[in-house]
Amino acid sequence: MRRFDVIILGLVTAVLLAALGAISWQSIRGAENLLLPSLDRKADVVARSLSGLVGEAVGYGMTLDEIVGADEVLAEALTENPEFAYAAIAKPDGRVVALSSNQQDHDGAAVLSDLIGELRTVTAPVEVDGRTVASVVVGIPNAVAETLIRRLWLDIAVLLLVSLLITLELLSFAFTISSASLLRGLARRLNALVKHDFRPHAPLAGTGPLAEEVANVDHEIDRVRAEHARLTRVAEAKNDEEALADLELMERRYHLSTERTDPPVSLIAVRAPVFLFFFAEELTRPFLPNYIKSFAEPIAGLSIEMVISLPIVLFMAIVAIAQPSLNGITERYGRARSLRVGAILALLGFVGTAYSADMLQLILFRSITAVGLATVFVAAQGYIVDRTGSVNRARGIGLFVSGIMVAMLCGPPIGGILAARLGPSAAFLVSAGLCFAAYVCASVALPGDKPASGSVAPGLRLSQVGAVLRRPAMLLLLAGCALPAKMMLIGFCFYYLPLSLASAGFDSATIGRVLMLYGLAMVILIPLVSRLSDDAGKRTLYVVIGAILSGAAVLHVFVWPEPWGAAIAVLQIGIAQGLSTTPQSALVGELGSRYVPDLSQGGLYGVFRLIERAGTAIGPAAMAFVWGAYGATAAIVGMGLLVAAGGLLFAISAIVTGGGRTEASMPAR
Amino acid sequence: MRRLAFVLMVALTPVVLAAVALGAYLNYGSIRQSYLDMVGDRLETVARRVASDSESALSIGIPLAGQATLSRLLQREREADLVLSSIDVVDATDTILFSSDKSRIGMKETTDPELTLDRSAAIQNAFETTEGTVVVRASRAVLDSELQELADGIEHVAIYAMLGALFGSFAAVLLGLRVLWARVSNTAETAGGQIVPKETVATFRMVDDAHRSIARQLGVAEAPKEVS
Repeated sequence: MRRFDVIILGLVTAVLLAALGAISWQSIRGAENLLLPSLDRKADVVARSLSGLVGEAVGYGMTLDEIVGADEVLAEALTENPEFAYAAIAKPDGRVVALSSNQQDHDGAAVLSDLIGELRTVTAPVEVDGRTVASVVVGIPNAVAETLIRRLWLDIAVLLLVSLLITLELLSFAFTISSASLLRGLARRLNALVKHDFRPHAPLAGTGPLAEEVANVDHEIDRVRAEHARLTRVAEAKNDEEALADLELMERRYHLSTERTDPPVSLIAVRAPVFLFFFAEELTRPFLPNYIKSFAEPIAGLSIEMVISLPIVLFMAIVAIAQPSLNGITERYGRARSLRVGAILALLGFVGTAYSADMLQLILFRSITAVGLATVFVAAQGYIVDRTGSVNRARGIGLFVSGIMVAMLCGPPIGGILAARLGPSAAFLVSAGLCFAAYVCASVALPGDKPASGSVAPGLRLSQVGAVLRRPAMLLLLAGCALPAKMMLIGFCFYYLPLSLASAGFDSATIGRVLMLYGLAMVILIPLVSRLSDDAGKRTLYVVIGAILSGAAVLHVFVWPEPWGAAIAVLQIGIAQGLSTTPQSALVGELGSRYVPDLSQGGLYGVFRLIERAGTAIGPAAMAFVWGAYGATAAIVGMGLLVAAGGLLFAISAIVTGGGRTEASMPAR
Repeated sequence: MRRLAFVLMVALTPVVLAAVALGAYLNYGSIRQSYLDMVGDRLETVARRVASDSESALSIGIPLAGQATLSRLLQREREADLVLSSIDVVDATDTILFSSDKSRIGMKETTDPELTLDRSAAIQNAFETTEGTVVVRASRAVLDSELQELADGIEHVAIYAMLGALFGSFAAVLLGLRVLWARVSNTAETAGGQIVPKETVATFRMVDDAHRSIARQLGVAEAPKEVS
């Protein structure tokens, strides 16, 4: 299957590159026709402006050689117009009396002919009493149009990357139709067998030659595994160590008695609507705080920063509070149906947000979007949980989480570009369109589910939260690590940085590229770390390192000029959280079963998610409060210290209680 | 197979079209912005130069309203750049004192960003208090007409690029599916008598051989090639 994906993606990349390349080629030609004459006119205006100044000085009776500070005036003109190569004042005989240049080749030129070379020039005479006493010459590089387009290629590269990721998601989705799932299923079997992997696959329903071939392969795998089991039984009965060693060697090479943990192929169907839905929400990250700011009016007792944070805080609070109760509701109503309802609610929310006339309407429509988001999240997660067992649930949830991660990578840069070029309202409408696409995908691919008639899973109870947080190790893990991590993400990355970068004059396209670094780090690191942290049994270490790295990341905004400081900070937070997210989640189960054994894993993770979600609401509120009351520096440093301190406290508690040793590293009991 | 190819093509169509359209718009938008910035800089330079001349006159005691030579300067500057629609010198009460367009003199200064691109520079006296403002305007209609040729050119190529990208993607889907189909339809029979993809037969044979060898070593009969 991978070979198929590679062929399609490789060819689509080539096709898109060729198409975008052709457009850029035409753009360069068009830009040359438009910009070069315009640049000449601009150079003429600048040259005439400078000649006016020189003429004024000469008119006061000075000679050209006596004019003091002419080089500085030319340098100032070049600073204001960096696209020009040089500006010079020359006598009628061609001798240069003052020169400023943006290119080293021209430094020290003594006569005009040394300067002109291959550059285009614009000349304005310096006239005093009707006679020309000198001329001002401005040099223009030939490659101005190419330079402009080259800068644009950063946007084009981001666009290409996002298009390819979306293509990959849609390819996966297209393979969920019944005939395609047989083809994908057969290709999976083929690839596994070529790699000597004889673990059994989930059966696939269907008719026709492909279905027969799938059944034949499964039949052969079952036969070989059955023979292996028979021979193992015989070897054990005869206590034939040599045969047992051979069989063990075969087991290691061919996986003849282990089970497969892959989620069923049918689960891939839920990924596309989830991806499209979260892509819609992630589009808004780079411009949402500034969009809110455009509606913000002072409210007595609240700083303006606090007012701007209100819709974000409320959105996150609704998602946090609604999630525990939505699990039962979506189970009763049907997961697929709930997912579709959530998508429609969010669609309405995005359309309303695009046309909001004041802060109250904005808050109302963002709240509707929040209910939609919480519903989709819980329904999609429940859909996977309902269709997986303990063996493959983690992989199934991984499928869902990686869809969200890819959306976090794709959404901000595209949202930023859309908002910068078309405006925030248009970008919200694009989000609404994506919600509709998510609704269509869910309608097409997710089977109709009957509402549950029996008892449904109970929601999270406060007593469960209390039981978990009474344990110091759990308190420090959840309130010391998980909560501040989300506070940092939403409060610093998604609330503070877009506002501060916009205030510094950066457009939402740049802000989007900065924010995408978080998703990029997470997408790359999470799969790597989930294997490494399990292998090494060093989950606590990963969580602590993640917290300290994340806390220290805020320092970059004080060290580097913007937007680089923000970009490095976001990247470091992405790396830090990429390191800590999976081990942290695993530690919840591990410490929970040790300290709160009476609580089910479902209840335990319900508390964990609630605390995490609370962090997303508290983060922007805390950031805005400190920012408004004590300034941005205090807010940034405070957030960094909180995150790092939480990690260190958890490290100390792990050392004291021996909690740092995980099951993998503990001696066998 | 056909249905799958159709579904893949339908799924790819909006992605490919959106990527190329957005790319085309980014190209156009970027050049448009550069052009408008360039025009804006030009207007600002003109505004600053006129303001500087006016300040020189103020410094030798000629009040702003008495700087009659400004009219000729504004006219000359306006004629030097066809994009400019007007250059006004406005006093502190927003009344136009001098203008390249004589009919505007005496009117109140108003700005409509839909119609014009404006840049201004303050005219300050020796005490750095503002005596007036120079407002330089370019007509949006003229700017849009200059941009139209660029827009038409990019749109033309973008349409062909979209079509090309669409057909290219369809070809990619068909080629990819053909390769995949060839893999799964190239079949052979296993020792167990099952028709499976040919690529897997060697793997099954390898495991069967190893099992056979172990069965001989254990002194048991080889299992029948059908699952019991």
